[in-house]
Amino acid sequence: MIAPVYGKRGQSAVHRFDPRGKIVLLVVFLITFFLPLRIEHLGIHLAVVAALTVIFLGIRNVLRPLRLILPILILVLVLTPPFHREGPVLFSIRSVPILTVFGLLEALRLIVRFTGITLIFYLFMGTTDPDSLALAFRWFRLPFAISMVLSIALEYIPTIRRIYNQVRDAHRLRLAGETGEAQRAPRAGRDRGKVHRLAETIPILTSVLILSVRRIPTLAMALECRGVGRKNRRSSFRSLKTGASMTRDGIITALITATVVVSLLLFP
Amino acid sequence: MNEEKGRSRIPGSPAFRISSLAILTAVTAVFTYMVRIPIAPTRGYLNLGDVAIYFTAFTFGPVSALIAGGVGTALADIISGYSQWAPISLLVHGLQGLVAGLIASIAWRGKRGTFSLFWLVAAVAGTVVMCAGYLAAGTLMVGFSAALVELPGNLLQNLAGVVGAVPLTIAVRKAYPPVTELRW
Repeated sequence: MIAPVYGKRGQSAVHRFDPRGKIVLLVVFLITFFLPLRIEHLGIHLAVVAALTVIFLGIRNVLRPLRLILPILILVLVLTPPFHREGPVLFSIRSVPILTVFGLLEALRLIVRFTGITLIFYLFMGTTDPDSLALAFRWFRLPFAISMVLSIALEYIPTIRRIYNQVRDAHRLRLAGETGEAQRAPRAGRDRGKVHRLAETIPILTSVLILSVRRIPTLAMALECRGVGRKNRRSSFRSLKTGASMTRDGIITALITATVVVSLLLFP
Repeated sequence: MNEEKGRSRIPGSPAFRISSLAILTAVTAVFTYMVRIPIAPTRGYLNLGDVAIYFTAFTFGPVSALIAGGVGTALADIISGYSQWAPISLLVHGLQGLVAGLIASIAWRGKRGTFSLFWLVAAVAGTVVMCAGYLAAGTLMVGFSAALVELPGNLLQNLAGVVGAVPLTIAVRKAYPPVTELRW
């Protein structure tokens, strides 16, 4: 259910890359984007991430997240410079500096940082399937219970979405007659505010919640039947890479991390 | 089988905890990314994730609200394509649920199923945690000025969460009284 947002699942080298390595590289790049580096250096990191996203997910999948964050980027560009008035003035109104070189650089730095973070997360989520992710988190010592919660929740989201749609449609059908009356009464059905809309949603949410929480005991029984809660070591239907391919991906992860660290030391 | 059936109904059992957390997490995710109320002037929308977080805090307690609130909203961010906000949602909404749940737990020992003023105190504390958390995280990601612009929206969303969660909690407890026995 995550795949449609991030485009079609592929079989590229990044898709097949070990998810543990991808988590490490995600953290490395995130730290890089938060470091107080020169704008040119941050720009190179952004260019590398953008190039990887274009190569492995396609140009459309670079534009999609950028379109989503465009309003925030515009806000950053407009609102950041007036808060930083140091340095040579580029634009002022009645001797009040509005745009300075430092303000402009700070705005660009924030734009590069946020775009980079967005793209790196997009690349990560677009090339990693949720099951592998849960397994990788377990490898990093995430408690079994939490990874199980994550897996079951991902399985149940479509079910609860379906319940919500059914309940909403049922409520709409029930209210169909009342809506007809409202249309006949002038302004009655049109001037509904946000509070009214929220009030209309409450009965739907009540039904959805009751239908959902009633599943808890049944699901608990199903899990116990499958041995959840026992002390013995659990086996897994799926497993992460082992042997030569794990070593290869580990070496690649270490090399990329070392390159990033060296570049940070050489060009701070 | 009867023994198994009886054991699984104990709210403290690991399987019960996992199943309740998973269902509440899924509910929070669906309320966050699917149930949206449009705001006409700005063409934005209010999501009702906070309704689910406060409901969980009032009914299931702080630990459930911490995990369901944090993981549920993080999953919703990932599903909606805003995965860059997922770690922040995990932390901020998790803390919001924890704080609200801890305060609401004081009322739990007294009255069951009825409205408590502690719920409002819990919601106010949760709102402060959520708004402060997003402001701090937003300042790191996009700068203080852009993060400040988001503040009214977050406040409005929390207000909708409180306005929705209180009647919802009362309605669910009245319509389905066994819900209070599912707390662990």
